[in-house]
Amino acid sequence: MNAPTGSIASYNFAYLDEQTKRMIRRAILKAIAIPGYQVPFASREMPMPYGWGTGGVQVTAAIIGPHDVLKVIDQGADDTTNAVSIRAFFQKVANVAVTTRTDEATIIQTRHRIPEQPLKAGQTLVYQVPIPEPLRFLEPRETETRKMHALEEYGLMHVKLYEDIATHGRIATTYAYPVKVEGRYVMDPSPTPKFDNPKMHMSPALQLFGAGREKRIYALPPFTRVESLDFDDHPFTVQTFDKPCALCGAEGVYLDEVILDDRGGHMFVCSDTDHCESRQGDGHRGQQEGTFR
Amino acid sequence: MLYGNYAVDAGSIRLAHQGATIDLATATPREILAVRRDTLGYVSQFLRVVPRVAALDVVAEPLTARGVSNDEAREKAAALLARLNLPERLWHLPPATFSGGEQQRVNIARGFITDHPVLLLDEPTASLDAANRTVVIDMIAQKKRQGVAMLGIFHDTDVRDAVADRLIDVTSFAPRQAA
Amino acid sequence: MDEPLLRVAHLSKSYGPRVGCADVSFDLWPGEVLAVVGESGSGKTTMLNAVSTRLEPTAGTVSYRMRDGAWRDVFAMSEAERRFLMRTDWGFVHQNPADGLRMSVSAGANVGERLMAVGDRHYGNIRASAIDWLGRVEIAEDRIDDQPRAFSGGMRQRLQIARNLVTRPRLIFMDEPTGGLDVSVQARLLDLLRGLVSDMGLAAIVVTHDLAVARLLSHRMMVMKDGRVIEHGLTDRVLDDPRAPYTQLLVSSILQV
Repeated sequence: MNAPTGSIASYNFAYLDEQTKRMIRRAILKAIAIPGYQVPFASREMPMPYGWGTGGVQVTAAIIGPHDVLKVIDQGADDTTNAVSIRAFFQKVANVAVTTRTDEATIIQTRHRIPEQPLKAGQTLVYQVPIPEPLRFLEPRETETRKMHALEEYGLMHVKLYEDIATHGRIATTYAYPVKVEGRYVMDPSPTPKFDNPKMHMSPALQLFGAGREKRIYALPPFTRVESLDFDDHPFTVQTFDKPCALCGAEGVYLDEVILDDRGGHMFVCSDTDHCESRQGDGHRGQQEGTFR
Repeated sequence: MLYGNYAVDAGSIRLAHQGATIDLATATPREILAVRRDTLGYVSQFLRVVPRVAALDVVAEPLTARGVSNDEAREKAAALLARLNLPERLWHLPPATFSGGEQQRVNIARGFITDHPVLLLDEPTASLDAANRTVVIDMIAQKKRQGVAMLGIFHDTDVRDAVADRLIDVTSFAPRQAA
Repeated sequence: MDEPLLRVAHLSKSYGPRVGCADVSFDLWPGEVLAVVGESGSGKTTMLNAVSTRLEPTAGTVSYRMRDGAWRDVFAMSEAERRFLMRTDWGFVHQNPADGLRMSVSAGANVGERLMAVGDRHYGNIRASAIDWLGRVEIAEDRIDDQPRAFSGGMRQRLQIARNLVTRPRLIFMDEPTGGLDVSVQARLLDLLRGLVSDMGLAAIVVTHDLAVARLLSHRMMVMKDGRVIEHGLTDRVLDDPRAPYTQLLVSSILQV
């Protein structure tokens, strides 16, 4: 079965063969049926190295259709190498429309961020995941971690948080902050900043997670309860920033530090480039606007 | 054999324990432990204790094992050790380093601290000097007044004559006689 | 109260044609310490592992009286129930502390893990319990955030004991708890164990090849040889008046200081 191909007759639509896509879709369906559970799948070799988002790319390839509009971000930015390459890849192998606008996209593949603009029903967020097992660094044996998930033995997760507080006086985990899904499975949200954790909770969008090297897919169906683990006396909090974005003046968003010169000059700007540009387009201005451009 | 250390080949050892009669020769280990805890005390010739435990705690242990508070048990232990003239500076040292006489006094104090209705004494005065021997004789007499039944092995005829109501000559039990 | 805590009946474990342990039966009562002695290869560790459900026995049953008084066949429990039992009402002290500890997390977290596993979510309370337990096993409070790698062998063993006892189990299994420690450290540990066992009314099964350890810790003793129990009785009876020729040999082999 060949989807419309046009000038790319030598590839099947979206690069993967149909059997593989079916296999991945089955894994995705199972993952949606058991929110937060890691479903093994037969990850394929992709024309890019592991660590460059092969898991996310395979998930996207399995769900993308000719009418989808794709956005790809890396650390919130549409214009970094990884994002540009993956976007170009799907333009070439699936001939789909691409965008940098969050609200226009039907599929958003992401590395390490969730867009600032709230997602809508019908949108799918595809995460690239390096290490899907939240218990991995605490318990190296896969046989044991699977058993721990099966039997809901998650004391170890709190051991990690305990260690943080003991060492730093607070929970110092700032990214890949573990969450509990629908009160059952503990899940690694991929290395997104914990700032983004609350966005996963009850999101109207479908969230899919693909780990290529580790051969795992997991999912959060729309409107899933996602709770960040914490202690009663050390509750979960997100990062806050002293200043608004230097370019668009946005507050309550995740900021990146940008070094301006060799004399220690720096500024904080939105990590979500689309969000920042949209706001600037609407006339919002931050303090340093002008010095940067 | 009477204390249960040695298994019995034939015969019986009957003892009143908690309102019933129990035969130690056929009792289960668990029953023997209960008898030892509540009924049958023992002053052995040898001191076998956990290394590093202070003499005072060694003496107090039979009481704490029966649920007496640590402070109360230590107080009683201190009184007994004082009565037996064990120098106070030794109380907080483990008895493993003590002389034979000192060890024996720790042992006697340990055996006498409880109010077991039956007490076995294995040469309790063997390595004691005259003064302490008198103390032990007094202590035995005191137990006797309290109605404690005691069975003792004595080589020392003075002590034997001072404390015993009845004598059993064990030479007739010796294997060469029996053969 | 006057009912056993654990009943082991005709327990056997074979590795193919090789016998690990065969036809082991005994009852263990609350607060009772049972020593299992025998030389290396006598099947005592196999027996311990089979009773503690770390190994699946070939035949026989292990029944345990739960906190609610109900008797359960531990091998008929679901794995989740069994694992829950093992980390709440049971403890297992390994010969090598590294097998029973998480070497790369702090002492405090090692002690607190069981509490967190049963749902304790208050950092302050968990830490307070950890400090309390470290104190009971004579580890200074200021070592709470150190990893066990930085501890001596004796400290590690004491930490392992604290980690096991924090949920106040009723039954604890110990496999050569003093093995590999030098004598002064061993003495200190034995003293500590004796105190904890009597204070908490713990029942314990202690596997050891050291008859002196068995004498100091246990009420009853089982002697194993070639996978079978060849003698069983009151500890001082077995040691003072050994009946089986093998036990006599074992007792006569003790070195005197």
